[in-house]
This record gives sequence, structure tokens and C-alpha cells, in this order.
Amino acid sequence: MITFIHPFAFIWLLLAIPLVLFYLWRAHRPQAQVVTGALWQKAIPILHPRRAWQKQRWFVSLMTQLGILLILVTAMAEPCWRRPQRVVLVLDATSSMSVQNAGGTSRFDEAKTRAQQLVENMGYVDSFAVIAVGEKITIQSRMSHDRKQVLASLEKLSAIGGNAAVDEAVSMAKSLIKAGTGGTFDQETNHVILISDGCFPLANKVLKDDTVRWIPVGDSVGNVQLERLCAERQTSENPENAEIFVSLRNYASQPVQGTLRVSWKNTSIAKSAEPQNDSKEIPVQIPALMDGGLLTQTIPLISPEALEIYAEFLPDKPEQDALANDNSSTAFLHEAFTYRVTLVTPQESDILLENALRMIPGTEIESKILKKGFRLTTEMLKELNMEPISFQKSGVKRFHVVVFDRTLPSKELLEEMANEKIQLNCLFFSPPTDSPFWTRSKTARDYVLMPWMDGLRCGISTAGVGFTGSYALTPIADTVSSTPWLFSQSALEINQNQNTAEENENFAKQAQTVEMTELTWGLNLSQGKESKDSRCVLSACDLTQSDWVLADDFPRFLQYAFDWIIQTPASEHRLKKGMETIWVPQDSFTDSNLNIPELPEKIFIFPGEDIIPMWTVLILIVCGIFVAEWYFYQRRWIE
Amino acid sequence: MSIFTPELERHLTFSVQTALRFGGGILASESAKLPAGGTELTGLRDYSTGDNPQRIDWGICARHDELWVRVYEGTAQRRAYLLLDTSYGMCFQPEKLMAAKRAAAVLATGILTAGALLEFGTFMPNFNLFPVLAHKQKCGNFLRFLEKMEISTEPNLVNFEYAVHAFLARKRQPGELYVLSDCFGESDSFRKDFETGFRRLQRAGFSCRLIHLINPDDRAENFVGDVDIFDQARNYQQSITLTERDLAAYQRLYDAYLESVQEFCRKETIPYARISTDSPLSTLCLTALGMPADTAKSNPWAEFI
Repeated sequence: MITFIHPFAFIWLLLAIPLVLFYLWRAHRPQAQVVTGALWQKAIPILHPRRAWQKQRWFVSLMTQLGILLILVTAMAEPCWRRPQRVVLVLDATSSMSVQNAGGTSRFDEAKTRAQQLVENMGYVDSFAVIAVGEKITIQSRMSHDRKQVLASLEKLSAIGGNAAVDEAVSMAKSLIKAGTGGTFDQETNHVILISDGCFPLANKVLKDDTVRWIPVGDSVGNVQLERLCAERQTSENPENAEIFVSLRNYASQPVQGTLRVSWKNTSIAKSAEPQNDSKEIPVQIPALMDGGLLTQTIPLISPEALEIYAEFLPDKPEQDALANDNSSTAFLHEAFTYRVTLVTPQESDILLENALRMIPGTEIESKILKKGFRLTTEMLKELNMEPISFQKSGVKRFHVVVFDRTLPSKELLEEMANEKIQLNCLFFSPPTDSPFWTRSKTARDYVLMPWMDGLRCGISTAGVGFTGSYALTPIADTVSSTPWLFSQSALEINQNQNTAEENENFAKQAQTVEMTELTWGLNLSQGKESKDSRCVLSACDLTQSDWVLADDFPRFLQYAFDWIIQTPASEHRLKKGMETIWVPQDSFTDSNLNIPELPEKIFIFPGEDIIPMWTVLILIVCGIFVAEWYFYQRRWIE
Repeated sequence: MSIFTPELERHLTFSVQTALRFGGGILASESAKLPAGGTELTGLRDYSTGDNPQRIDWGICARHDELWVRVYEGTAQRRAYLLLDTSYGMCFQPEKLMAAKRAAAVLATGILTAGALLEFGTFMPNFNLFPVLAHKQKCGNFLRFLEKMEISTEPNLVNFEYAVHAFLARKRQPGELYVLSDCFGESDSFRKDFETGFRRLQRAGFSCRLIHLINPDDRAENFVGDVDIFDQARNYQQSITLTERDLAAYQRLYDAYLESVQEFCRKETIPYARISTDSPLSTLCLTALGMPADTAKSNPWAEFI
């Protein structure tokens, strides 16, 4: 289908009017009266005979002139054999695009140049949008026919960096096209053009997508990445022993030599702890990519304190490492600690609970069975919880946690403890329903239902308060401030701000369909105004009914509960990251492989670019006509 | 606009005097000797049959023992006839007619200044002879006559033989005969159209002179492209697309025609002068008298005329 890039050029066809008028005016032959008619009679027979078309020469000439005019005007309109194109340009501006090419320009500059060429090649009917992928995905220019606007949006692009997901940008680009086409994506007219070096996660998936046209930029260069830095405590028996694990990845075809510098410093929250700074430099040679390109280094470390670890790779030849951003990383090592758990139960201890407690690393369990009729006293609690935090010989902290299984201290006892400023690290497990801390409430069910469902959606297993019939246990607002830590705080705030009456109806309806078995409350006991809030965990579980949940998640739940109680950097970290027990390093640098992926079989060319510009062809045709006419005129064929 | 302007009058006097000073140009002619009618003894010759016996010089005869006759000689009054071609080809183009009238005026002035009797005639479509002019003071009258002369504009072609026949029928005394024409006859050959007429005139004792009037437009310099060629006298019309090649072919024919006229005059010893209608007045006056155009430069009187 022919479209014209500059259709307004056809206005020039109006020149045909004066052209025709000139010819009509010229069609009147001038009359020449002569006295030498005899000579003319003698001369004309010897002239060459005319062909039939030559007798209509003026008409042929007029048609030729009109044809030339039409060709010239058509050339000015720049025809192209294609339909209007909708193009979304995804411009990669991630960190890898800052690499310098051999010519001195960066990959990003080359990408911008290519993008400008594409935009300048766009036709009048084409529409263009620009999406940049850097720190985040930004739409630089929405779908527009205005070439200048698109070029201006490209000019504005300057910042390079970040590791936003290119595949998400591509998906966004498709959505942008579909939004304008009613949900269809015709590959002949719709294009998602990705100008990138191909160095980003999921590149194989994106670049093999048939709907994505990849324009590669840049040359493959070598680079070294500090791929992973993490630190872990080794065993629960010797938690002060730790290991720093560093892996370096070489993406070049040649081995790279350099120095790995690892340094750490103490970040313990305890003011009394002495700062402990140290560093280590290790000369390394990273094998070539053909040989795996991976070098791992394990550094043993003995320190019970929390450490901030910084690792950096310094190449001997900087030219072998194109990108310096990915040569360093920071990791944290939590302080070493163990748990001493006192399990207070009126009956035989629950096996499930005890086994779950034993699965927590570094946990030492002591059972205290309360005889029937035995009441907990302050002295007993003091004895049980005399040392909330103790230190082992190696300097490792030991936290003392009291787990009340199916029993609770009386309200008076707790008040008395609060008055005497006894810090309480307790876990109340499956408390009896006549506890002074909470009351039966129908609304509690509504209060926690939504966060619980949110947790399910997020893939977080839950444990918590069991419901008895349609009732739930809810903390008394005057005595405790509650935080359902398992769930998002924001969700709770929304629930608190909304109209309770409406909530009740909604949650009540949902409660009929969702069978809740567990719920857990984090409690901040705030009885003593001056005393530090004691964190407790209330867990009301009916283990017999929910063993299928507990079998998998109960140990992790308990670990989580302990983290809530003792407030160490490690526990805070775990609370933020969920139930992960492994220290996850910082977000790794994803664009370190600066080798251009295998080029596509056919380099994408914007429609119209592959055609010799039509105006050039047409101008050549016109020139050809003029040359032919001149030649034939010389040969007296056209006269 | 009057044909005869004061400028023409000045050029008439100047060009005639210049021509007479430099030999007369086309006006030059030997004095006609009248051997029998003169009174001045110019010589003796042998007696031949038919000689008047009274002119035998008996004294010489006695000395030489032969019959010798006395020869007497006297200058006769020169007679000149100026015939103007007034055919359609000469008249439908105003500039051509104007140039012809001006050339006739120059010739008439020159002839009368030379002391000859002038008879002016036009020979197409009918032959007319007008009264004799005997003195140069009559030039003014002649110029006014030329200006007011009515010329028929009916399409016709020159039939010179007929015109000569009509002229000879008037039985005029032989003398100089000036023919002012563009020399286009009925056919495409000058010789075919004019040779017979000139021969008859020469046989009749007339000393012929041809003043050839040419119009550069007849060479069709600008006739490139589509054009309708139209010759009303011949009733000939042709629509043609002329190229430069066609035009060159025609011009070769035209130039050959002009050359044939000049060649004929040379062979027949007919004095020939060619004037062009686009010439400036000074040049026209001189060339009409058969003088080169630059003759005026060598006339020391030019500044006093």
C-alpha cells in the first residue's frame, strides 16, 4: 500500500493548470505570410517525413510535461510502499549502556543516534512513542505523529543508570500499542523496537520474541562483576564463626588479574561493643569466560558482632573491566546469638511445639511443667526470666524466651511484673480463653481477616489465633497495643480508618466462606509508661486441627516470633524480608555481561528504510527523460 | 508617418553627390555618341556602303588615294527609365514598400542630377508610365508623387516578360533602364522569370540595371517551431513544424536564389545593386546607388552637406 510521507506536496500539482494553459496558447500556430512561397514549395518536399505521433507532437509534449510534473510532485510527497506504522521505541538506558565504544562514544549515544535516525525516517502518517529504561521505566513520549516532539524527547534523555526491567518495558510498549489498536497487534504495522546492547536479565526471552525488533548497539567488551557477596554464621554450636563468600565473574575471553579487597566494620547496636575494623586484600586471577569465568573466594571470620562487609575488585588493567559500577558490593552479617527457651506448660509439653522449637538454630529448651493448682508467682517469673540476655564465653548473646503453652500468668501478676520493671520475653501459645488480656469479640474476626488474606496472597503462611465458633480473641485496647506483624501495616491502618460498621458486614460475609484456623498477634505490653515495651507474642492455635499448616510452617513461625520478641538486627532483617533464613545480599548488578548476545538473523530495518527513497528514484527517472529527450533531439528523432 | 523625411532629403543629396564623385555607381554610363548627328569632327574612317557622300573628305582622299569619310560626333540627351516592381510581394510588407520608394527616390534624384530625362513606371499588375521628368528641380514633385502613389494590393505575381512587352510597346527611345524589384517571379527560378525580359530589353538597346530589394524576413530566421506558411499571391498554405534543419534547408535555397540573381547580372553585365529593407537610411541611400555602405566615410564633403 502506498502512503505518502508529505501528502501536502500534491498542492504543487496545481502547476499543471498554467502548464496546460501555456500549451493551449501555444497550440495556435503563428501564421507567416511570405513572398517566397515557391521556395517553400521547393524546400518542404525534401524535408524528412513526419511520423504520425510527431504530427501530434504538442499533445505528446504536453503529456510528457504533465508526466514529469506528476513524477516530481510525487517525489516531493515521498511515497513509500507501506501502511502507517505504530512504533514504540524502547531505549535501553541501563548501566551497561554507559560503556564506551571503540569510537569514544557510549553505547547510549549510539542508541540515541539510531533512535534519531529511526524517528527522522518516520513518515507523516507514522506514530512514535519512546520508553526509556533506566532507574525506572519512563514514557518519554506518548504516541505522536510529531517528529519534532519525539526528537525533543530523545534529546532530553541524558541520565544512564539503573537496572529497571527491560522485559517489563517491552510489555508496557506492547500495551501502549494495543491501547491504540483496540487490543490487536499487527506485526506488519505495529513495532516494538528495542535499541539495546542486549545486556539485561531475561535478554534471551525478550530478544527471541517475534514481536520485538531488536537493534543492537555497542561492541562486546570485557567486564568483571563482583557477582555475589554474602556472609553467614556457620553453625548453631559456634555461631561466632562466620564465612564471607565472594564470587567474581569474568565475562571476557581473556583471564583478568586483580586484587580483591574485603573490609568489614562493626555495626553492633550495643554501645559498649568496641569497633572492630579489618580488611583483607587477596590477589586473584579470574579465568576467562570460556573456562567458566567464575572465581569464588571464601574468607573465614570469627566475630560475634554484627558486621558490615564491603568487597571490591580492583583490576590490574582497568581496560579489561569496562564497567566499574559492578565491582563492589556490601553485605551484612548479623550478630551471633542463641536462644534459651523455657517452656511453661500445665500438662505434658506439646510434641509439635517442642520439635518446632528444637528446629530453631541455637535453641536450648528447658521445660517447666506446672502442677495442677500451681500458680505462677513473681518470684518464679523472676527466676524463669532472670537473665533476658546473657553472653556466652565467646561473646555470643543468648536470649531467654519464656513460652507459655496453654497457660497464662494472671493479670495481677503481669501488672506486678510491669511495676517491678521486669522485662518479659514471652510467647503465649494457645492461651486459655479466659485470659485477662483479651476478650471475646465478633469484630476481631473482621479485624484480622483481611490482613490474613493479604498474607495468603503474598505467599506467606500464617499461624495465629484460633477461632472458637464465631468468636475471636482480641486484645484489650487499654492494656496492650497490638500489631499484627505478620501482615502489612498499611492494610491495618486502612482497616482502622474505615467505618467499622461497614467492615463488620463485609468481613462477616467473608468469614462465613473462609475457614480460619489460626491467628497470631504481636503484642506490645505498654503497662509501664517509663519501662521499655515488652514484646510478647500471643499465639492461639488449635494444633490438632491445623497440623497440616504447622508441619511445614510452625518452626518458621516460631523463628519469626522470636525475631519479633528479641529485636536484633538479624531479626529485624528477617521481619522485613519475610521468613527467609538466609542472608540475601544486596540486589546484584544485572547488566555486567557486556558481551552482545548473538545478533538476530535479520537486522531489523524500519519499514521504508529498506526501500531506496522513492523521490531519488523519481528524480532519476526525470533526469533520464531529459537526457533521452536531449539525445533524441540531437539525433533528430524528436523534432 | 511620411516616407520622405528631412533626414531622407539630406541623405539623398549627400549620397547622390558622393556617388557622382566616386564614379556614379550604378548611375555610371558612357555618353551616347551620335556619329551622324553631331557637329564636332572627331575623326576619319574608311568609307562604307551607305555613308553619306557629302561627308567624304575629298582632300584626305586625294592625299591617301582612298575614300575617307569625316566622322562628326555630339552628346545626346540621356534618357533613363525607372521601373518599380509594384507586385503584391513588394507591397504587402510596409517596410519593403517604404524601402522601395526611398530607393526609387534616391535613384530618381541621382538620374536627374546626372542630367538625364527620367521616365518612371510601375509594372505590376499593369504597366504604367508616368510623365517625363527633365530637371532635378522636379524631384520634389516626384517624391510627393511617390508618397501618394496608390498601389493595388490584389495578390499577383510578377510577370516580367509581360511588363517588358508592355514597355517596349510604348516605343520609347533606348536609354538606361533601372529595374527596382525583389526579383521574385512566378516560378522558383530567377532566370526563368527574368532572363527573357532582360534579353529583350538589351536587344532593344536599353542599358539595364537591376536594383535588388531584399527583406531579411524572407530568409525566415525566426520560423522555428509550428508555423503556418502562407503565400497569398500563390494561394499556397502549408502548416509545418520547422526545425533548425528544415530552416537551414530553406535558407540554403533562398541564398542560392539570391546568388543566382547576382550571377545572372554578372554574366549579362547588368549593373547590380542590392539593398536591404532593414538598412539604416544612410546605407540604403548609398547601396541603392550601387555604392559600398562605407563610401560616405571617404567623402570630405560629408560634414558640409
